Amino acid sequence: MMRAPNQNSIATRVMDHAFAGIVSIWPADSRDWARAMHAEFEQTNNAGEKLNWLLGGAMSLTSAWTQRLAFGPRKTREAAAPKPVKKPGALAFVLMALALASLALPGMWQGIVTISETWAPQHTGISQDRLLKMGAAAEQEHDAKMLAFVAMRARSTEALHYADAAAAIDPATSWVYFEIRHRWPFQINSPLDLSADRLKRLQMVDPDNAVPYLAEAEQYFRAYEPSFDGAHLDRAAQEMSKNSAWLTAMDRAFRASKFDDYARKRMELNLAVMREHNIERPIDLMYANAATPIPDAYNISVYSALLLSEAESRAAAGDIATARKTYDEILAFSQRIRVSNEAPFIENILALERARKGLISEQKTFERAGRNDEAKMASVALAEVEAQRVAYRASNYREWTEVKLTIPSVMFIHLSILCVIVSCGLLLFALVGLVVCRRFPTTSVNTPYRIVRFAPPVLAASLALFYASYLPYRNAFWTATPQGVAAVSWQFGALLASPFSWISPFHGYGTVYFWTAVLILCASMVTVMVLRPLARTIARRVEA
Amino acid sequence: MAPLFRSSKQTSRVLAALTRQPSNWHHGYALARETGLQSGTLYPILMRLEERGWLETQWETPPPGGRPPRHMYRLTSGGRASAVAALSDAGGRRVLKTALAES
Repeated sequence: MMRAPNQNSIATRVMDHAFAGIVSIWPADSRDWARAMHAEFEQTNNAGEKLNWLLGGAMSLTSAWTQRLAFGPRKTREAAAPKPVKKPGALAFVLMALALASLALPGMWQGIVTISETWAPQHTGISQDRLLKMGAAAEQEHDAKMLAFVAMRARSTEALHYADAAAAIDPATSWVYFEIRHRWPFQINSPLDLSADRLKRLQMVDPDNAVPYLAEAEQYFRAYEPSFDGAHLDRAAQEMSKNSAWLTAMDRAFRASKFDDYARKRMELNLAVMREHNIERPIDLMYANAATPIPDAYNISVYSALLLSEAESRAAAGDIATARKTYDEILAFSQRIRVSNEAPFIENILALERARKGLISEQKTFERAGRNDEAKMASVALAEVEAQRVAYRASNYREWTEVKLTIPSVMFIHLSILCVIVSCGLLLFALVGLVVCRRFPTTSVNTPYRIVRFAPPVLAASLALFYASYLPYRNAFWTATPQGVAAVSWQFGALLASPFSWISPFHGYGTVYFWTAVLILCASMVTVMVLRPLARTIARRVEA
Repeated sequence: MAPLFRSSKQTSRVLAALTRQPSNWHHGYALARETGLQSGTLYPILMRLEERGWLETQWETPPPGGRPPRHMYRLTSGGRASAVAALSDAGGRRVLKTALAES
């Protein structure tokens, strides 16, 4: 019996696989003949003969289906041929071991946790149990930074406790009071309302900063108008002008030499603690950056409206100098916000809006007073502010556009992790299948063996692709600077929104639903693949 | 014995190959080489013969390691008789055709 040469050539293997495909779609009642033809394929001598044999198989397939459809199923005369058992080789186990070993690579586990967090419908962050343990350990070690870190994430009942502990060890961490009071979602009459004692402590530690005074003023403002939403600004201003404590606090805020909402300090602390304690949670960092606590914008707007009203009254009374000083006070405050480090988008827009209103009022005041040169200077400054507003909005949009360039890499990350999950699921099914085969010896063991042959290479390749795609994100997390955290946050934000961000406008959880649907579909396909041979075996036993 | 049927030229070639060594088992590839037929022609013929009871089939046993078992064919006792009859009939028709062509 002549054996065909070069059985392992690529062409031969391709044709062999094609023939296997023909066998798989052959009508079931005559599939033995397809297997018979396939078995003879190996005996053919050269590529030409093989191709002819393959084409003959395809023709016979057509004929078989025609017969089947025209005349119904054939009667089989003998039992199906026993299929050869192909056990998985050593390579499958080596690849499996490599796949497991890759979990120890730096950043691999971070990536897996990060992606799983992006698939969750809600960000839960570090668990409260873990935070309490971290807090307890930090209290024992007198670690003010860790206490502040925990305070910013703990529930209300524990947050103030840890903030007090941090400030007691290191008064420089008193800024955390502002953070926990203003964290999202900001609640009116919150249990996190700062006591006078805590406010004083914050103001003493940072006397030149406007923000602690704004924090104090907010508490008076919200006590008066808890549900203020920006309507009737002038009326609110007139009412608040009767509150001397509020006026004093706002005056000190507007006269302070700097505006620091502690965004930089917060990011510095987050990065330091996460790196020192190996808390590899980039999504947590991203949310911490996105949920930037800022002073109450309505409170600032009400005071600005009051100042504008006073300035206009002064101007109407002929006291242009005092009116001008008031306008300058508003503009100066606006500038301090804009030059502060890492002022977030909302604060910058707020500052530009305050400046714009102040300059409009100033221009009108000077025009009415007939001081045309000063009116012109105000209009020029106004035009600059308008241009900055437009440019600032456009730059924010451009940042988001640049993020979309990372979408291809994000697709590799999500898809490779999906392949990892599917491979692991298949291996689990194979394990179950092998157990079933031992229990029912007549069950074909080929399907589980096939899975064990193919799943480890897929798993290893998927993990490799995932690691290569995720590595830049891991490096970005570890090398981020406090001023660069915003850019890093945009990068990780892409992991959340991409690659199916078109779903998000329809539903905020669109990405989550999509991946859940894909996983369910894959799981269903795998279940059918694994259970079908088992069902056939049971059916045959029942028939017998 | 199954009733006679008109066998095509290709079927006659297959029957002729099977009747040369009627008690031996034949493999598909060997039959293809002997008859000069492509697999797409040969196997439907074998399937029809098997349906009619002229052919018995068997898988190679024990199954060899590393490759799938091969299918083997030989004529049944009834099949041998039918094959001889069919070949005789085919031979007779060829003679008649030749005769008509020559006349």
